[in-house]
Amino acid sequence: MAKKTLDLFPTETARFVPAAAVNAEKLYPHAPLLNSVPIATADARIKPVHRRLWLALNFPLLPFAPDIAMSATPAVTVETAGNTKIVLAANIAAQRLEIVRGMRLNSAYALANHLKVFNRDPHEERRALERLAAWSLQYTSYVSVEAPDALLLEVKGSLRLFSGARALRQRMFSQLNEMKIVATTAIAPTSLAAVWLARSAGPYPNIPNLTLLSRYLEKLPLSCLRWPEDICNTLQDLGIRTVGECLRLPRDGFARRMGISLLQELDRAAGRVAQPRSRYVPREIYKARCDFEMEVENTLTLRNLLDPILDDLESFLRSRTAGIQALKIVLRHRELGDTRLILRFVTPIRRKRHVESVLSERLERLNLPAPALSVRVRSGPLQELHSQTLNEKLFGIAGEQAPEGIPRLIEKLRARLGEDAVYGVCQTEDHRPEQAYRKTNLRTTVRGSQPHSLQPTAFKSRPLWLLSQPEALMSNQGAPFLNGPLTLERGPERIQGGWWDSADMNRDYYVMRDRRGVRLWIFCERGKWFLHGKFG
Amino acid sequence: MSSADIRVDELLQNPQLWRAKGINASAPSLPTGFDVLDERLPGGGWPTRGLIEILLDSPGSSELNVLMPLLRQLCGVENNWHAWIAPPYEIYPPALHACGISIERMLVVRTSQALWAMEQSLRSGACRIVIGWTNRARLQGLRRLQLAAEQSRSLGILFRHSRWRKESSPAVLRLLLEPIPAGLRVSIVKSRGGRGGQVVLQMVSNG
Repeated sequence: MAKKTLDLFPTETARFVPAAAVNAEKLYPHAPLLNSVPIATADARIKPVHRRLWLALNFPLLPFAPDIAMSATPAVTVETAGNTKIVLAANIAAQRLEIVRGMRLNSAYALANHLKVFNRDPHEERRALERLAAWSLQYTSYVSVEAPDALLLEVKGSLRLFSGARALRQRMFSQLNEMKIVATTAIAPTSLAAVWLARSAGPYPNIPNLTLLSRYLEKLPLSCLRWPEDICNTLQDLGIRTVGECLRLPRDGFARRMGISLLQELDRAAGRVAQPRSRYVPREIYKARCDFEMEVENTLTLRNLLDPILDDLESFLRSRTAGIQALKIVLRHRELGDTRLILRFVTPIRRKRHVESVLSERLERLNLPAPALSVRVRSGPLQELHSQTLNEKLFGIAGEQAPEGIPRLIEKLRARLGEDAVYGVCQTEDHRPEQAYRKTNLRTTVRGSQPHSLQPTAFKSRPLWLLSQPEALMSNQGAPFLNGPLTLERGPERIQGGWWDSADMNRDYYVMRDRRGVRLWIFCERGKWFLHGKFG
Repeated sequence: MSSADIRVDELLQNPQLWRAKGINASAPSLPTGFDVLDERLPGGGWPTRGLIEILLDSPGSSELNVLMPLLRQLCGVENNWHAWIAPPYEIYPPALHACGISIERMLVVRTSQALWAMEQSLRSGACRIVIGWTNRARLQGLRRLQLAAEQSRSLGILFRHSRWRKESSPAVLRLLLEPIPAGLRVSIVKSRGGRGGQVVLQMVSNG
């Protein structure tokens, strides 16, 4: 590790931490340390993070269709930045003419006479990258998409399986060649460094540990970092061209001039700050089809015939570490239209028995209009499983109450009674009795978030039972009457307002007691009496 | 051993027979919040699992007020799920909240198949307490409820009309509620290992 600092940022030998930096550190414990030691210096407070090994695949020609990428005519994809068009990617023929990324289109025209120019299509690039991500899942279960043109594969566990990094690379590249896809690659212990090194297009770097990584970063040109142009220019003016030179700058000075986020990037690349990466879950769905040998007339037979499909579905989901929230079952009849069943699940599920419990409720209620000839099953999009679902698999039922119980119960009740029959409630900020709460579909509460609730003291004299519609009462000489005269206990409490949502009210509420001692919530509006609740 | 002894032994093997001595002593219970009622109930409070049946003439007879201390214990601080199956009116959430009961974990089911929904909710074990209303229950259905509640260690509370008081029921505890001007008269129709009897509760209004 380099001990010498550049003269451009003279540093004191004693450690000096500016007061502002100390405060910032207290306020933001994850912010990078700001002191005047060189960035590359190991600090006891920054623990090295080295648990994974990343293989980065960089696709420089991703913006091109495969035939254009390999064609003999030079072609470029351009991106419009303000008034100028900048070259985003150049195909192999254009690269031979020394057209490179970041060049202005006018300069590119100067180098090539017959240049084909394409505008960038970010959506197509994204689709192409996702296709490649799905393809790369054969090498590891942990693939992360680094938009716009790179993939990161966590290969620590895969290296042994594929007998080493060299063999793994050979295998990958023979497949990529068949698909006519150009890629560069690197293996490094941090994901960011792996991407940078893959972009450098040097010889295939295979860096197993952090000590070796710092040697590779030393020579890496700054252009691989894709930092903003003005930053690159500033650094270039200071005579800094490689990452190694950058790492010898003092931390505080670097953060002040180049921004704290770039300092964080350097820390992440050097493996001193962890960088969690989201996992790519393929956007595929489960599809199955079964043509029955005989016409199926009853739902019991149907259920038996669906059984192998459900088995298949479970193993499909298991191999993808994913779950589904919806499943569509379409039954085809000879002459009538299809019968459709859509099963919905409150949380993503994987296990067959969960599907079965909802399915059997639906089939029980199903009347087949005609014999079924075939069935098609199609899942909703695959989703990441919640950790609870995985825990349940590990520990069976956790504690006395299964955390999975509530979603499964809601699904089961809804399958038989209908979506709207099962609901939750939450309070709303309104003083009018009917508007003070509303029904919820329970999705948010099931996931464990706590909705906002009012102070418990806000509604002191409210009845536990509310009539869904206020019930008109008879009156006797202006006093309300219900199975006999009522005695006043408390009131009136005036509740009015609501001009803003056309539920305007102007009511005087009273608590009254009937002959048997039942306490009632009664209001008077425009001289008429209504029963609105019972104190239960 | 005489033949009479054997017959008693055989009788004791019968699962339908229960002995007062064996049940009440160590049964865990939850205080009802009403001292006079606690004194009458086996174990000094509500049973912690199984089916409780509450009989009354018409809804609104302070029957929810009787349950509030129980719900506060089970679903206030501990934040357990509670299910309300086919209530006769709307349960008013702000009032429930004012009683210290978490409404975030409240499940309401509107159905004509209350018995089925109640059995499923009890059997799943996901709700600590399931409160249901039905007048269609028959003995076999009640037995299933009681069994489901026992097995999943949850508490089921079934409200029925007081005309069923003479019918037999497998519930652990049966109470008859009658509002009277002095308060609420609670008659213990059945309690496993309890003494039975009648108490009058002074209802502290929830308002």
